[in-house]
Amino acid sequence: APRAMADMLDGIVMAEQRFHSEGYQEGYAEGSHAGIAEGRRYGSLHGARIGSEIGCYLGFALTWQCLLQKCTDEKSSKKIKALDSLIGMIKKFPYEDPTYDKMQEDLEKIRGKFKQVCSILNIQSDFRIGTERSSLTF
Amino acid sequence: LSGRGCGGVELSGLWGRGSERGELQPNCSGWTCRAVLGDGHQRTVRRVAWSPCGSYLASASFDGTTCVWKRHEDEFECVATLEGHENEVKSVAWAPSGSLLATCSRDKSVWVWEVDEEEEYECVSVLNAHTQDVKHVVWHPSQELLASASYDDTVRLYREEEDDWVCCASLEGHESTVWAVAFEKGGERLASVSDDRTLRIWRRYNPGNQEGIACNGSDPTWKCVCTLSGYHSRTIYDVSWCHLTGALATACGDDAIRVQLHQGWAALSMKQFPQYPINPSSVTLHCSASVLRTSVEAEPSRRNRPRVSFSRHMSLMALAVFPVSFLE
Repeated sequence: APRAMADMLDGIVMAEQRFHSEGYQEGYAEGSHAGIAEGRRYGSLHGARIGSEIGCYLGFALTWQCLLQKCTDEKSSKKIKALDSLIGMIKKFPYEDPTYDKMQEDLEKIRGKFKQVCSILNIQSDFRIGTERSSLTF
Repeated sequence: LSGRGCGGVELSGLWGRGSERGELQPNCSGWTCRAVLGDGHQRTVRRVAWSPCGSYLASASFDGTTCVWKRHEDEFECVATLEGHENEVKSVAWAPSGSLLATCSRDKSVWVWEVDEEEEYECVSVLNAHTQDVKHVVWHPSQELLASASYDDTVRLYREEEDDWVCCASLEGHESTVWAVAFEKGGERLASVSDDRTLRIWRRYNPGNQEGIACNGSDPTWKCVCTLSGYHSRTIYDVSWCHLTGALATACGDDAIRVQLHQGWAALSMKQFPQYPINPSSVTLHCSASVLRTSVEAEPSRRNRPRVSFSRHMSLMALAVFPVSFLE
């Protein structure tokens, strides 16, 4: 029948296009899958890096807060105030929310505060060990 | 006053008026070198600034430090070395009160320092608002408001809020590095110049303004009200806004200094520049040397006639083309 003939011809003529299309769909699906896996790996690595950095600042600040807690002179009170401010900023940071829109901004504020605290405490914020250039990097 | 490295030794030269002729050209007689502060820095001294009281001099260097020198007649003593920036310090500026100092660096941060009665300097804030090299910092003429210009094409403004400093505005519009900013005398306008060859004027709109411009809480909004383009054929490196006449002077990579006057802001009699056929609202001075690194300041004058002063390098060139009298 002419109808069946047309379909069969159609199948042959459109074969290339159909294979292209199927190939594309398969590739796209595979790519998305791989992308999600890679994204997840990258995200957890990046997140760990941030956590490590902020954790370091927190540990540093808490230690100094402890060391200075008995000091009552004016100079120390300024240092304590700055440390409290840094600790407050870190504790307020939303660790659970990767979609927090002010994440970068808040991180920069924390870094800035950390630098200021180091300046007040007279400590070099880049923690270089000996003469090697390998500073504490995150 | 200039800071320039030569042969590996970084110098800050202090020039004073004197009666002897130094090694300078006869045109500049009257200027002698009073002091050389050669031991303060290990690299280029990029900027120097006098404190409002005149007793202190701050110097910003590529070695990452900012030194504060106290003046005793012609002797200078380094009373503080401000460290903390990770790399080259590009600019330093004193607040009008004299108790705050701001520095900025290639490390993308702006630092605010406070000095107490015992001449002790303390960092009060590290501001990471910019995303690239910060080129210039300047204070508002009467308030504790700080402006910074950066390679990230923006100008940021900062103020104090509850014991800490915050970025309260970001002025966007330039299409390339912003090299310098200058406030108008009243502090309601800001001029910025850029690698995009334009000069922009930004105007401040306070909350509740009659033009109906929306403000964020109690912070004023700054809007670009004028963009001067087509006048400069190269990067504009510096701008200065005369607090007496309202004239704006710009330093440009095309070897010219331009002085812009706006009828609405200040009127300047054209009698001052008689020998040049000029467009009534601007004067262009062409010099034979590039004004790449020169700061141009328009000085207020006692006799109501504005005088423009240049750094020593430029003055020799400028005098040859334009008989401007120098600040005495």
